[in-house]
This record gives sequence, structure tokens and C-alpha cells, in this order.
Amino acid sequence: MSAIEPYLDELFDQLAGTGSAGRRILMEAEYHLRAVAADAMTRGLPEDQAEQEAVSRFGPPALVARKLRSAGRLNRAVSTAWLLAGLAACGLGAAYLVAVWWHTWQTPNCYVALAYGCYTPSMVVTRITMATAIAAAGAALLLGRWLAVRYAALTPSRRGFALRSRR
Amino acid sequence: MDLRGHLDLLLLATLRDDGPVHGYALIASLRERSLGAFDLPEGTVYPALYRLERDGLVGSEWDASAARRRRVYSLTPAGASVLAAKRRDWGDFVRGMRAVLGSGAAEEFG
Repeated sequence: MSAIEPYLDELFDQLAGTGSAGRRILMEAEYHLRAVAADAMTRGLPEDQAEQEAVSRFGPPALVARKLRSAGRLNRAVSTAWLLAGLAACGLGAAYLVAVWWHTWQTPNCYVALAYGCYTPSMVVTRITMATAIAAAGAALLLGRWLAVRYAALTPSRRGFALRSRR
Repeated sequence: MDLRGHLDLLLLATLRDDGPVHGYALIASLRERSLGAFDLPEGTVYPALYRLERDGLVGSEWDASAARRRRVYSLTPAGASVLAAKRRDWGDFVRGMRAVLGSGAAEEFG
């Protein structure tokens, strides 16, 4: 029975969530395993032993997947930090806008800053501008991250997971 | 042998000497040149190559000329610079180790 096919199935399961890097490693693994097995058969080993040797030399699928995940760790950390910064800026800007609107609504006829907490129209405009700028910065961060992921400069920040083998 | 921390240097050096080469040949060359001392799980080399490529030290492209598609790796100019720096660091490390271990180590380990 072939040892390479079940090995590739197991590697495929272990690489779940690693995206294009995982797909590429899987293709390279298949080429590598078949090349090693072919070399071993040239040396005179029977097919099943040759495939078994190729698989054992490649290492456990879990180890290969773990190495790939650790290789992308910094990338994923940057991606996640970028996403969180964008969401935080958007949230802060939106909360500030709501607070300004709420405050203005509570004191609708306040044109001169005579009392504590009273916003003049120019103060309201300044605050709305600040809130909008913060929200726009957040939106720009999210758009920039989306473009980076879209054009493969950055991997998605989704958490990688390995499906349990059914065998 | 535990190659932790040295695999990048070994891969870059092998790529410099062997030129554009696919993963299987690269691993075989590394094993051969180390006289069998660096017989690491072969599957762990591909994530290392992926990381080196992501860092711009190695370039790669699919080679469709073979019966099966395979990825061919080569050293980039940035990779060559990093390799030179790592070689210098390694030379300093070896000199330091020899100085500490004594003159007998030089004859014992070559």
C-alpha cells in the first residue's frame, strides 16, 4: 500500500488554515516524496519500502505544519495588530462623534462657552472634525490592511487550526 | 544534530554555491556536503525556505519543465549580503570557541 498518499492526506489536514503557503508546501512535499521514492527504487528498494523511506525522511506532518506556522508567526502578529489598530481607531472616532452629538443635543441653544461643558458651534465643529479624522484614519488602516492581504503582502490573521485526522 | 539557528546560514550558503535549485536537490546537496552530519527531517527545510523568501533573502519560481511542477529557489542580492554577514559572525564565533576550548580543539575538530 502506498505510504505517500496517506502521508499527503495527513499533511493536508495539518496544514489547514495556512492558506497559500500551506498549499505550496503540499505541492512541494508531493514532488519531493515521489522523487525520493523514485531514487530509492533506482537503488533497488521495492516500491512500498521506497515510499516508506521517503515519508520517514520527510518528518512527521505535524512537525512540518508547526514549522510553517512558526515561520508565519511574525507576519500574522503584524496582520492582527494592524487589524486591531484599525478597528480601535474606527471605534474611537465613532464613539467620539456620538459623544459630541449627544452633548450638543443635550444643550441645543448653547452658543457661548459660559458654563462648564457648554460647546460653542466652533467647538462642536472642531470636535466633529477630530472625531471624523480619527475614524477616517481607522478606515484607512483597515483599507490598507485589506489591500495588503488582497495582494499577498500579508497573510490573513485568522487563527490556524489543524483538523484531527480521521484515520 | 540540532541545527537550530544555523539552518538559514546553511541554506543560503548551499544556494550560493549550487545556484538556482529545487528543494529536493538543495536538501541532498546539504546532506552530501555535510558528509551526512546534517540529516534533518527534510520536510522542515521547506518552511525555512518559505520564511527566507518572505524575508526577501531567497527568490523562487515554479519550474514547469519537469514532469511534475517543482519550485526552484535562488539567492537574492539581499540574501547574498545577509550570507556574508552571517559568515563573518560564524567566523568570529568559531575563533572564539577555539580560543576557549584550546589549541587541541583545532586539531580534533579540523
